Amino acid sequence: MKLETEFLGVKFENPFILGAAPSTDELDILRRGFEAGWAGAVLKTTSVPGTRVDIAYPMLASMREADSKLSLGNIDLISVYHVDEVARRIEILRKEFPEKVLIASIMGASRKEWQSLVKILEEAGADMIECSFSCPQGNIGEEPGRMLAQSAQATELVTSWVVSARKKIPVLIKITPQVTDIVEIAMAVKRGGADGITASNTIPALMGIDIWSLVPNPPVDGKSAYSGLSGPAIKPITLRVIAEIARYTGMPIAGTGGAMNWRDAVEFMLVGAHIVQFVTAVMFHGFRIIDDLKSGLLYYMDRMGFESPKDIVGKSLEHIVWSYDELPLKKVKSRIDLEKCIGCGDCYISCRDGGHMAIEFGDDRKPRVIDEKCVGCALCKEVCPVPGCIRMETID
Amino acid sequence: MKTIVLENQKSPIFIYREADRCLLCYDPPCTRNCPAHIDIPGFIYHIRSGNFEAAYRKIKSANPFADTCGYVCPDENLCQKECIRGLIDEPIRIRELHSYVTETLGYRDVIEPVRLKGKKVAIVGAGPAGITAALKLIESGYEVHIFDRNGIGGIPSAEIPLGRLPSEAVQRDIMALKRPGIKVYDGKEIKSLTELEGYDAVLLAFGLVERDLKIPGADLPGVIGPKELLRSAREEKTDFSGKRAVVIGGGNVALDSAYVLKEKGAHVLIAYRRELKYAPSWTKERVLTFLKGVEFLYLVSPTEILGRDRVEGVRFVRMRLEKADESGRPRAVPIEGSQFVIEADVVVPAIGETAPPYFPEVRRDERGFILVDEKGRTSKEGVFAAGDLTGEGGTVVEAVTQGKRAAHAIAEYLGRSS
Ligand SMILES: Cc1cc2nc3c(=O)[nH]c(=O)nc-3n(C[C@H](O)[C@H](O)[C@H](O)COP(=O)(O)O)c2cc1C
Ligand code: SF4
Ligand code: SF4
Ligand code: SF4
Repeated sequence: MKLETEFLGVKFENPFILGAAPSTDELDILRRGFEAGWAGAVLKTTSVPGTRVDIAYPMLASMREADSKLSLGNIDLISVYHVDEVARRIEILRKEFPEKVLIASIMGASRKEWQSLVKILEEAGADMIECSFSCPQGNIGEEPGRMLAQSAQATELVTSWVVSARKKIPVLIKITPQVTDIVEIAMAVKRGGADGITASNTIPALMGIDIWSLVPNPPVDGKSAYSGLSGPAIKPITLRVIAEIARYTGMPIAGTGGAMNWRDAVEFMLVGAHIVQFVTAVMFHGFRIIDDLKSGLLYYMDRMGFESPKDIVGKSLEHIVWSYDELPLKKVKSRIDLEKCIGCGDCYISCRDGGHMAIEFGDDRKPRVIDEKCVGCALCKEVCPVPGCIRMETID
Repeated sequence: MKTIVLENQKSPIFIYREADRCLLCYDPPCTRNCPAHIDIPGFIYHIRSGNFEAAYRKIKSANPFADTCGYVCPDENLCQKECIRGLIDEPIRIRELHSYVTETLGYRDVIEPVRLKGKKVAIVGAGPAGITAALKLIESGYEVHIFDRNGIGGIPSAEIPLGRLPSEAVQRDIMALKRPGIKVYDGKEIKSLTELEGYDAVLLAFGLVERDLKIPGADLPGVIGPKELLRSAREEKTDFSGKRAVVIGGGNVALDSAYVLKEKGAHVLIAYRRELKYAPSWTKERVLTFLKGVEFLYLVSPTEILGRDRVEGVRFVRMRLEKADESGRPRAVPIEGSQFVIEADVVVPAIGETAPPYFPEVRRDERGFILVDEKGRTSKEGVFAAGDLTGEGGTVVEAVTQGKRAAHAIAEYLGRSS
């Protein structure tokens, strides 16, 4: 009960939903996701009948370091299922899961297409529409490869088409972080009349190259393409995007891009997201992570004294300043707790070669900070393997 | 010690994760505690980046017996002992990391050919110390003739049980000897400097001989020296099925002897005069022997080996411990009237070793080992010594280190006298 929340007038049993991706592209998979406890789903982006969707496989490549999967890249396209099939599925799910939030994701190539998609899906029973303005395919006649959400003008125009076609369900616009000024785009979404923003999406990237065959990943018979990067690596970018949109437009936000666990979700909420979408986390670990998401969020709310997920939204925004000029200028020094220190010397090496030569390291294997040389950059603290061993002290 | 590793980890995932755990310490205690001073964080960083060739070179040029050491180094007493990572969770499993590198790459030549300087060194003994010295000398441009009466490889290739050290590992270490400038004379026994006329320097690096058990019956058939036992155990046909064997001693040689006897079918009992905690053996070897099913008897000492034409049993006396002796361990003294007999068909006295009485030209210490200074020089000019016969160390890696030290001193000596 306590996890229940509301977003754009729609009730969510918890703030965690499945983002548009393969997990939401098959009826049986979706059913299991709902049974596992997800509050809703954005069905994979659909289009009008006749739209060509030719996916090249393999379409995924991950970035790993030892055991950790740092991120995922895909060269996937929108759903191969057209709107008639998706509408049929929404009708079925509507009956089977009346409590779950069904969001239909769409992509069109003309006013007519966008508007017909909205109408059909609203009629089928969708709770919300999410417009993918960050698919390179749906560029309404601009340069190929360019996304709708990279043009403020196109964003405003298409948003207004969609909004005027819906009867009453809320409209979300899913943007791309790949722009010079995210606020400009978000303002265009607002002017177009959308109810909220999905922020943001994968980031165009080259996933890496097999240096022996010279072919980038994923290799498609000797060729590859730029991928959409998702997962842990893009979380800091998503956080910045959400924060900027929340601060400057005040629009309600669905967060997506790099949330892997409840702590990430809380961070998204702290900068302005109301609900959080998960894709890569589910692709890596399955639907079962919802249990940890729910209990983790409950634990956090209890510990912080928050009554509802809504209480979390935007709480960190006041701690972010407009520019570096506004940051307080205080003297800061590194302080090493020698009781905790294990004597690895990593702080010494980093400060010597990447800092200010402010740490001495003797035969006794104890580091010592020379205050006169320490500028307080915190590199030592960041490299120290022992949590809590080095702290930065503000003096004066 | 938190973990006893009985079998080397060979999974690449384990290796990468382990490499990732290393803190890449400054002035790392692992390198300090490795007798061969392998640059451990250096080679671990190469593993992390997938640069195995460079890792191999770092390991193998610091320790030419790295393939062998990858199996037999008592890591818990050496590099891993003071690993800083151990203060967070567990020490890095360094030995297995370098074993993984040398094993996956197989043999590579890491020696840069140089012009020979026209001087010749004789090395007596082709074990880890002698071979290491030979390789280091050829790197400095000195020709080497290496002699061994038993063939190449010393203890690792002849006396360490195959279950502890695969012979391919030793073979990879020995392979480096095959190169211009090094001549190997195996099967050739040299016992004095007069047999080595015409060499510019001599390195003594031969192995030890067993101390005799000085009790009645010690010469009965059925009493087998550990060296002979360990060598014969490498042969398929050796069989001790159904035999009752008693191994006397508490060191690693006693454990290895018990291990191979058990492997060859005997019922085995190790009899040691002190308690386990005073035994000069490594924990891992004890565990291995124990798991093989060897029985242990402590605080007993043999007084007589019984039998008419061959061994039939051993008479023991029980011991008790008194104040520490010069070795720092308590002295074991017999308890009067506590004799008892254990039936046995085979008795292996593994009660210590000493240097054989060859090369009367050089001075020895009171225990019979060859005296050397901090550079590995003997009392005779131009004659150096390295390995077990100096009475220092006793591990392969320490022999390697002494071989490096002696080669350095020889190069210095030859450089000066030219
Ligand atoms: C294989 C794959 C397919 C995707 N397909 C779509 C899609 O059809 N429509 C869409 O709007 N987003 C799509 N996305 C983007 C995700 O919905 C999500 O915004 C993105 O992966 C970032 O979130 P994450 O870090 O939680 O994965 C896809 C992502 C992946 C990995
Ligand atoms: S804070 Fe920066 S300058 Fe100061 S000791 Fe740490 S690394 Fe060096
Ligand atoms: S990095 Fe941390 S643990 Fe290591 S020496 Fe510095 S303070 Fe000590
Ligand atoms: S001491 Fe341990 S953690 Fe530090 S460099 Fe050596 S192996 Fe790595």
